[in-house]
Amino acid sequence: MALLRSTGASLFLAGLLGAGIWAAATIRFETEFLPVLPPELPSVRGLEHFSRLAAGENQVYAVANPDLSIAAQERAISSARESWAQLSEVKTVSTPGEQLLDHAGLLGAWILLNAPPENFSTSIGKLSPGQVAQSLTDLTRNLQGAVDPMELFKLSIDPLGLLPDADLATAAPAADFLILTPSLDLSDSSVDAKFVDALREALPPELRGQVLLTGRPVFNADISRNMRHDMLLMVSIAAALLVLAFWVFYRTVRPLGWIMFFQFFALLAGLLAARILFGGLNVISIGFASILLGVGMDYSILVYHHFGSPHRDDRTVWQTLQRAIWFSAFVTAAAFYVLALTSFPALQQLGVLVGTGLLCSALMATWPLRLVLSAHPPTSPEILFRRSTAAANFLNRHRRLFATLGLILLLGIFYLRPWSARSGFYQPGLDQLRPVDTEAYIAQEWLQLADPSANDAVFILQAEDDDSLHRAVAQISSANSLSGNPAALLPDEARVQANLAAWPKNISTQLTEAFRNAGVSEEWSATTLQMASAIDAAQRGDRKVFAPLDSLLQTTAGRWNDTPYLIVRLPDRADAPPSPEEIRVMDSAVEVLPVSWISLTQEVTTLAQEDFRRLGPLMLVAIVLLCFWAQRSAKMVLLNLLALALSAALFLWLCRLSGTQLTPLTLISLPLLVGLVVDYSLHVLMSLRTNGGNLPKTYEHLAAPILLTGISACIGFGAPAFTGQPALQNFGIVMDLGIASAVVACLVLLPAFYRRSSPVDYRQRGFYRLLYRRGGFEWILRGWQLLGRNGAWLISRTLGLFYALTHPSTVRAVRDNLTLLNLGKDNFRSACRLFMNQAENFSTYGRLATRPTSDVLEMMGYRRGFENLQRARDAGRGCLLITGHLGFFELGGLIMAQLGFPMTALTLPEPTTGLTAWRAEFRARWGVKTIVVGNDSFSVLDIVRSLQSGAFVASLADRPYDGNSVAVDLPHGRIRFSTGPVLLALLAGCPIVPVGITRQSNGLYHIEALDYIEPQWMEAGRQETLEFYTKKVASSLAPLFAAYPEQWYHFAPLRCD
Amino acid sequence: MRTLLLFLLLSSSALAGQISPAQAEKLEHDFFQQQKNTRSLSAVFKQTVTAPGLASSAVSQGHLYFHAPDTLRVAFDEPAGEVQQLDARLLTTLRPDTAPQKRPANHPSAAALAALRQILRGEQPAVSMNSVVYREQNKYLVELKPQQPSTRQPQKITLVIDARSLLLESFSIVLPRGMQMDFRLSQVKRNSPLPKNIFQLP
Repeated sequence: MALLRSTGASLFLAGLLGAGIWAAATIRFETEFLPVLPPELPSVRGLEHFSRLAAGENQVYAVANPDLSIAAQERAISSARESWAQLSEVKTVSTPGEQLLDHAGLLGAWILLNAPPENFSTSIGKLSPGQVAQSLTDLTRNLQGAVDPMELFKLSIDPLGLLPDADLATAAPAADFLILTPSLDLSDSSVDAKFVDALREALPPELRGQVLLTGRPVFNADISRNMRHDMLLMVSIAAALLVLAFWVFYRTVRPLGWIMFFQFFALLAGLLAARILFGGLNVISIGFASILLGVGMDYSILVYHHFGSPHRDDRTVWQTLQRAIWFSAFVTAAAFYVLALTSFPALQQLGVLVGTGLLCSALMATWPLRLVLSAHPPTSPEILFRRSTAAANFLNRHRRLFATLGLILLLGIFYLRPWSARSGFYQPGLDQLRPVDTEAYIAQEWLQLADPSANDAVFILQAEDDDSLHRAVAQISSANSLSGNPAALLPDEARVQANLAAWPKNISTQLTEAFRNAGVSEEWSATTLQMASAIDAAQRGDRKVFAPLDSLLQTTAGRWNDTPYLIVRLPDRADAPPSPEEIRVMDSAVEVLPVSWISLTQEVTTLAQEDFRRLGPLMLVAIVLLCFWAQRSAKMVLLNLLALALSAALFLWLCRLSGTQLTPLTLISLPLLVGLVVDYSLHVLMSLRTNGGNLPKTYEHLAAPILLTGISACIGFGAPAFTGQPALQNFGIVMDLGIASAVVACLVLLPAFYRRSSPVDYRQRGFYRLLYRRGGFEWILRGWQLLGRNGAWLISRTLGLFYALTHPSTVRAVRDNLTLLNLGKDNFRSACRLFMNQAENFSTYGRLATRPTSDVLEMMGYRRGFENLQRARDAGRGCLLITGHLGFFELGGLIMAQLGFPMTALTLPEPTTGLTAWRAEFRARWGVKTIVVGNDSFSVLDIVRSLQSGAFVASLADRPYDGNSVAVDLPHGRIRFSTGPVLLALLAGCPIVPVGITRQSNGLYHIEALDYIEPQWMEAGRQETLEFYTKKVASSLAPLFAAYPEQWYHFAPLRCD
Repeated sequence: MRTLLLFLLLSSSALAGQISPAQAEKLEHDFFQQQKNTRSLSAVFKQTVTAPGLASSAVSQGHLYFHAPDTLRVAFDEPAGEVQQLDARLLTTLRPDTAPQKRPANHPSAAALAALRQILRGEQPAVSMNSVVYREQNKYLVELKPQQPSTRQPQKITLVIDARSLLLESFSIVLPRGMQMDFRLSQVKRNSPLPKNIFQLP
């Protein structure tokens, strides 16, 4: 009901639900592994091309268990073949051996036709009747003598010696396995699954597990099914464990229903982003679901804890929490979004999806969930708070122990030496990224074992033209001592045309006759006759005659999107494939793509390390900036970084103890952990600061939620450990160790390093003490001379901003002071402006010092109320000019001196006598005298005497230096005003004129004399008199302060409510 | 090595009458020792190639010389002048009226000679083989089939070994498509001096 009452929330959720349902219904599950890797890597392209060339799009391969005996394998394959041949879904079942021997003649014809015309002519010369008869007569004699299996094989398929040096073994297939061609159109994963299921059901029960299927449709069917199952499993396990964890903490799961309900919407947001931005989810990015559930829960739990606590009605506490949630969401989402800059498409997707989902989670927690919980607030068990306080007290008692432990952990990094390649933290292999538990993958491995070329290093060569490929093959053959000529199968249309023109008519008929006459049966003649028939057919224009060769040729040579390619195999080099450079292709126009998981591992490792080096600093900079944005304190940012270091050290130790290794995937995922550590440390540090370092109070707010969110994040990330994806399993374990490290480091170790500090007066700080001295002012003068007006303006305002950014406690004091005048000015921006204005005032000393004294009048804008000053001068008495630390008050004295008023400035002693003297000398240049007010009565006598002699004495009243003060009203609070000036006026019998000088947007300074006050002793008494007139002065000045709050320079808290 | 062990174990179990594991182990030891102790070997051989679809077989004969551990020479008397010699790195083929042909020792053309050389050395075949052993009278018949048959490798190798002397008497190789080569050895001389310069190549 609470939701329904909010139209905005209802509409938003309804819209998101509709869009999410659409995304879920139309999203695509990408099952292949290689697309998750950078497509520009040569090995990725090589493996992708090769898998498509070798496997075809729709064919399924059946292979028997290689552990069976040869006879058992043959029986199994034969039996399976009989079963599948009867299926209507299967168009053909064959073996590669059958394919080669069935089409050996076609292959020979192909080689001949694509051979250089001079070689073709030589072959034609061997087809004359006399030559053919002689060759067949010599056939038996050719089998005598030196035994060469390759020559015998060649002789058996080419008894006339027609083929050139091409080696038919180049296209020789693997040992027997079955190739099943579907009669269906395998258009999507559901049809793939239907086809594969039909094949498996038809397999005799005794062969199940002994004959396995592989190929694209099988991978597609198996992985699609596994992905859906994994996703359901992950979400179910994560949800169940979360329910349990929530109940253990809060003894209720009812509000968890709401939390899960809103997390569901965050998941929908991630799904929607995946659908819109990428169109689908792949085997890695699917993990976003559990990550989101685990991490996004943080915010909801914090909100729940808030509404379950006694502080639920405290608006300030809620605002602080809301702010912390959004800062954490931005920092963590930023950490994930940085992954969008990796070279790995899967991680790019993952980063964007999780980042988007996290922001949506923060929105859900701080908007609709707040509406629900504020309407029906829960009550957290009292024990939760008691235990939190007890834990905090325990930590406080053993603060030194935990700090020492943290330091030992940090030093332990030098023992672990994670930066060393021999440390064992990093496992560069990609084996974990393969779906090893799927039947399709096991069958693929069996198939590889059956392949006689399994030990070959395979490369795909691509070039714009055939000639380049021919040259490249010649270079490779020469450099690597290759036998045969892989380029013999490369299609060359020009050669085909020339050779067909030279081919004698109807040669197949003559050859048939010649074989019969020589008594040579079809075992020896079949291939030659098929070859001759094929060329005859091609000569008649029938090019489809070569269609049966398509699947055989495509694993050797052909055209891929009109680009010629060639596959080259280097025997026995599979375990240590040479790099593309090492196989010595000189022609840069030829692209060499390795078809090797070993090459892929090397390339991926190199790229992952480059990404890590590239993104690591970027991540660090982003984190430092975002933490600074959140906390505005260099010290707090350093503590954030300390939390990172502690977490990293703990994480490394946990990895070492558990034997967990980082893979290329998890190496890149470390930024995610960094984001989480920052998330937790921000919550802890911001709370510690808000509570003045009070750990029990901080724990009361945060211990339970952070512990619970840590557990929930562990659950979220740990859920993938139950899936069949080794990559996700490793990812889950690494993340769990990382989260555990983050929770312990931030909740237990970090507070030990947080020093409770009472607010330090800004005058005690180094920056102030370093620059607010005589030397500092002299540097201002030199800077002005060196940089000129604009340069000095820029530098001074920059320094002011820098001061604001680096002095958060001073900024807080300023912001509080600003609220005395204007509640709308309680923001960082106004505070920064104030610091920059003050810095500009200091730089104006340089301007004044470098110009004639009379030029100061050019800086004056309008003046108001000077009749009050004139009245005092006409009375022949002195006058006490009272102002506050408003505008460039120093300038007022200088201007008035130039206008003929006898000015004296009352000042407190500066931090150094040098500076006091320097400023007095500076004023003296304009004829302004300086009286330094001390704690003695002599200075008072001096001042009274000056006043009585007609001097105009300027004094500041809004920062009393001793106990003589009175509380006065400002628009939104009270501060203390010094009663000293009024006392001086009473003693000297002179009037008081409250004045102010403020800088306008045009750069000129306005001077306003606000009133003319003649104080008289009142009968009520001394104190009452002082209070009365001091309040009167304050009431004159307060509107001016309020009009220019960013020129009212107070850097210590003034409020005295 | 594993294949050979298996072969020996299986061969012992295939004897008429059961062979105990101890006997099999002794057989293994003796065979290995004898082969490893073979420093040289010479024999007269007769090679018969039979091919389906051809009416007659092609018969050749000549001399075989082996010098441990690497050099194996097959010199044909008929057809005269043809020689194949396998050494550590090269397979050299000599034919009358053609230039000597040299190929790497691991080239598929050297597969048959390499298999024979490994048997003479007492090493396992280069390709993983399943073995079946029979005993016929005073001979062991060892059938070796590659675990992963292919068009590049022999489909079957059969060795005939004298049961008493453990000397190789004959062997046959079945090539893909059914072509079979049989080698019968006679006048086997083990560890006798070989003719001087017998392994000299042009």
